[in-house]
Amino acid sequence: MTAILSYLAAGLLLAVFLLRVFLDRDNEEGQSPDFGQPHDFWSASGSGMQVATQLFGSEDWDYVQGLNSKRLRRRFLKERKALALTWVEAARSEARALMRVHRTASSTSPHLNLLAELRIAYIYVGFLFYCAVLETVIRIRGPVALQNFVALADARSVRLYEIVAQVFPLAQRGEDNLDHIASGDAGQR
Amino acid sequence: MDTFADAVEMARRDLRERTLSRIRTPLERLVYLASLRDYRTGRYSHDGLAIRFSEPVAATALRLEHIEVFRTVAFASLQSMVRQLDDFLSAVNGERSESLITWQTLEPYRVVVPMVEDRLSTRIFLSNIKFALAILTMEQRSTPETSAAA
Repeated sequence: MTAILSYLAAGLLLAVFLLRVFLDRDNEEGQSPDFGQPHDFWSASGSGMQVATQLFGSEDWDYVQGLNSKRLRRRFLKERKALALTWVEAARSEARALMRVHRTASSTSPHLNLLAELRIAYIYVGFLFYCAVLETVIRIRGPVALQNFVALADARSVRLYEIVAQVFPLAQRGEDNLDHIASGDAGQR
Repeated sequence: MDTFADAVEMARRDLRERTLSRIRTPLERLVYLASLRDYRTGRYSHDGLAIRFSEPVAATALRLEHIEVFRTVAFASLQSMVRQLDDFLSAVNGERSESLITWQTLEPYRVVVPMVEDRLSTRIFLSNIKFALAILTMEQRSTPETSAAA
């Protein structure tokens, strides 16, 4: 029984590895993205990375540590943890929304590309995986000094937007609110 | 060419050069810009700017500037927030401790948030302000005579 499970696990790992090699190679050869700035993923205001830097950086934590107050330190970690978890959830729901739009588009498209769909699914699952790990790490040790990991999740989300946009160019969401307002379209959230 | 957008950009420059540059900290600029917004309608108004440009241009320029200044404050480091808040609350003729209690009790900082800002930024801003107030309160307790003299 153990041997079968080991073989299954090894096979699964090999399949994932081959899929990754295939998709990465395909990506290197691939088309240049025709999508302007896919970055704005959790915040239509264009402040996503600022939020991430603030929540997952260590500058504020260093400052709070220097205050020599256990109560403030505890309070800081508690608040930042809650905010960081909200950030992860917001990131995840933005990606989910994108996938919903993509599913709707692909279900009505006569030119469905199976490989492209597979690649999107792979990147989406990868992104969800990063989010799950990030959430676990935040819960266990708090959000401080996690910028590098957040950058990885961010890169995944950017990739997801790029690929979805290549397959079915969507109306570019996440354009800075300021542009809309400046041109007289003063939408509010 | 988008003339409305151009006019808004000019109005923002005008606002920065004539008014905002004279206000010392981003937090004070934020409070000032929020005070130009009608509490009922959420519309911004500034007579001088409206005369030089037009009412819609002035209102849009004020709103954009409000959002930008809000982001500057919301994403400032905690240390910077504490310093700005300290400056702001100390500006009223040495009534710092009274201002501190008022800000903690009435939470007037809630009304300085622009309407279009996303929820997470707003939460970060509110969290930082509350935390900065807690730090200032702690500092005041530990050095009461210094605070009173200030």
